Amino acid sequence: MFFYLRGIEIYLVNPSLIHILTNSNPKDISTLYYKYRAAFLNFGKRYGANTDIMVDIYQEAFIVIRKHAIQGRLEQVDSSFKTYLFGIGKRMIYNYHKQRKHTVSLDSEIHIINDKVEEVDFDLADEPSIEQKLLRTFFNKLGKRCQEMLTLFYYRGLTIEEIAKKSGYENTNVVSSQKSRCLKQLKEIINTPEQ
Amino acid sequence: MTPQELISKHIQNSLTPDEQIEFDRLLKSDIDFKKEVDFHETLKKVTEDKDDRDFRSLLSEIEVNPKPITKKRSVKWWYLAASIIVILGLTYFLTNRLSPSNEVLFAQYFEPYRNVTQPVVRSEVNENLKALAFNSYENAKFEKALELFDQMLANTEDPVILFYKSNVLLQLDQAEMAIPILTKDTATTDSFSEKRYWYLALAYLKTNNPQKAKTTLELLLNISDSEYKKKEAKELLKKLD
Repeated sequence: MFFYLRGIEIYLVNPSLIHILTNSNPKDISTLYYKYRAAFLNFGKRYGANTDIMVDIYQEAFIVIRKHAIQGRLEQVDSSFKTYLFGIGKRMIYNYHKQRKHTVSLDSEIHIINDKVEEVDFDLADEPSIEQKLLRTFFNKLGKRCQEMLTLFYYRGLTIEEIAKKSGYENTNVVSSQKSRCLKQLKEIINTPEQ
Repeated sequence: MTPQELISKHIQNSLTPDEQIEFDRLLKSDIDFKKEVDFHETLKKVTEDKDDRDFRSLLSEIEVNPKPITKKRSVKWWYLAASIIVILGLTYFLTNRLSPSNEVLFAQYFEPYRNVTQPVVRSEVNENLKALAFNSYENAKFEKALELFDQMLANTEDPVILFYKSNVLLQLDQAEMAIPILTKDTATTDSFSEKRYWYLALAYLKTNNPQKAKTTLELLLNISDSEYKKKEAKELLKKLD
């Protein structure tokens, strides 16, 4: 279902929802979370997943949709937020049954149920490498402000200007020097032998 | 372009084609450069993983506590601050037109620092507490905010929370208790450094110690990479002379 207007795709995920997801304000996230929760759990019943499992799957689907929002992928999808969220969920339910080898009926049935929800593909997180696990331990020793700053730069891909604006820094020079200090601190932690 | 800049741009996927060629060349020929790139790429994965985990724990909290964390934007405190300033201003005009007392200067210049801590990265614990604390702070419920900040500080001495606690103490007329907090953390260099000096100067003013207030304002003016409150600091210094 694509909509084109003189060759320009009309994006169906509301930009304000993308903002809510990337901003992670607890109140807004909570509102969004409960907006679709009941319908999602109901949706899961058809596929034979119990409520506890469905709550877990709902949360995991929410994490994936947020990740896609951060990566800018949500801006390019041609379905609504709800359809996209449910599409991720549907794929997760399928994976869940597959892992547990519930092959008898559900495995095949899941694709047959005519619910108009297209499964959405997503990358499964790789098992973290040893380097990653080690670095995570050191990273957790950094102050919160440094963790925040490095996350904005490395994961979120925000520019120095955007970080200054978002985190209330006075100017970009402060952000640059703070970022260097944080990296230096991290390297010092790495190079300090455990007591 | 320095190797560091190349790596930063690589991490943010913003290398130009020419820079990409240079980047690839270094990656092949310079082992130290490669090590550095590996480090930054791993760090990128670590921050991603951490961000996801924090978001997951936020969702778990939301699942356990279905009542949305209420956050009413309130302008009450601005009204309060404005009326105090008007009243003190009038008092000043009626009583002492020539030299405003330190108390009056404090009231003229003090306003609690805005909440800039909207957390992007969430800690696994304490998040509800933090949201509640800053909700109270933003809604000018300073006694409640103080109580919640103290609860948070019982676990960890977060300089940012300490900074906001000192603001609450100033608001609650306990400047003498804000001073040790603000002086203690002046050694910490972060984006709050200059703000600490500003509020420390106001705290000295409030406790009738204009000499120390002046010294602190001068320290604030000496911070080279910030313009924070410099205009007000100069103004205030003149008034204190």
